[in-house]
Amino acid sequence: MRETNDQRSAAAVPSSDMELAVLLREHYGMLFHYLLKVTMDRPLAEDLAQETMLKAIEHYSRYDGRSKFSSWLITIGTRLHLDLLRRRRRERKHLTDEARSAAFRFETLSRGGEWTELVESLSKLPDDVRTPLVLKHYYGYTYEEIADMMDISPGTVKSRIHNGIRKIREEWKHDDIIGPR
Amino acid sequence: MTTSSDHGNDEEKMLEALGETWARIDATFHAEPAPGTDWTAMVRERRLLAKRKFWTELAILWSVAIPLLGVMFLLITGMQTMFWILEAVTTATAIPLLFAEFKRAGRSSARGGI
Repeated sequence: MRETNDQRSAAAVPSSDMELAVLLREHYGMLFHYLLKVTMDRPLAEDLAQETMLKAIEHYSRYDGRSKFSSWLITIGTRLHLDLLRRRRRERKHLTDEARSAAFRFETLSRGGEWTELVESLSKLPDDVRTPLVLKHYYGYTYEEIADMMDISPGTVKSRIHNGIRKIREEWKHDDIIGPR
Repeated sequence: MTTSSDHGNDEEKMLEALGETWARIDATFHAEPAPGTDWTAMVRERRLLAKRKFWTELAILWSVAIPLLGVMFLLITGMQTMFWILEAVTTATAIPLLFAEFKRAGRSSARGGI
């Protein structure tokens, strides 16, 4: 999945404003979809994608081209999201998980999408568990790469992924359970 | 009785279903980036802002460094009165500047610094 999402060579570092703008525009969809899967909240994913782009422009001189541009953007987006979660926890200003899940469910269904048991299980996971799960099993990053992105130890990444899978497995039994609700 | 291979198959199946679920989420929510001209304008504006920020910080650095170097010079040459006047001026200037810088850093981290 990771390779098909990012065919661009890591060595191609643009210099002009227009080249960087083109590169950011090309990656917007990938970044938005990543943040959407992690947050399961469309307005928040859009805000974070926008903020990530601004940070990327601001800190572009730090991008050395060794990693893929998409990985660099994902790292910025992940850290912005984790910072936001920490801040919300501190300020106790977050929507309840049920309210957020209900809003995402409504939006998914109104766009003609399916709300399956699996999506329901994913929406019940804490964001800091869903993030490594998506990075590992959808984008194919290694434990070490995820640990670096999230600024935690590889052991913590492993245990969060393991816990996430265990929680989903508890609710997910067999093929027939994946039907739309 | 479930064996470890059943367990492994179940997990593989579940991960496959998870991948399909995420792909469906992607397909349901289309990402529509703004036109290219908007992106170029945004990049230009942000880079200009970053440049301004850099020069402002450089100016702050030198406005603190020059009086300090002056103080060192006066200290070496033994001009006691001038030394203490400069010391007072530097402290009066540097403390508000430091506070402003701490406040700015605090606001920046609250917006989600990386």
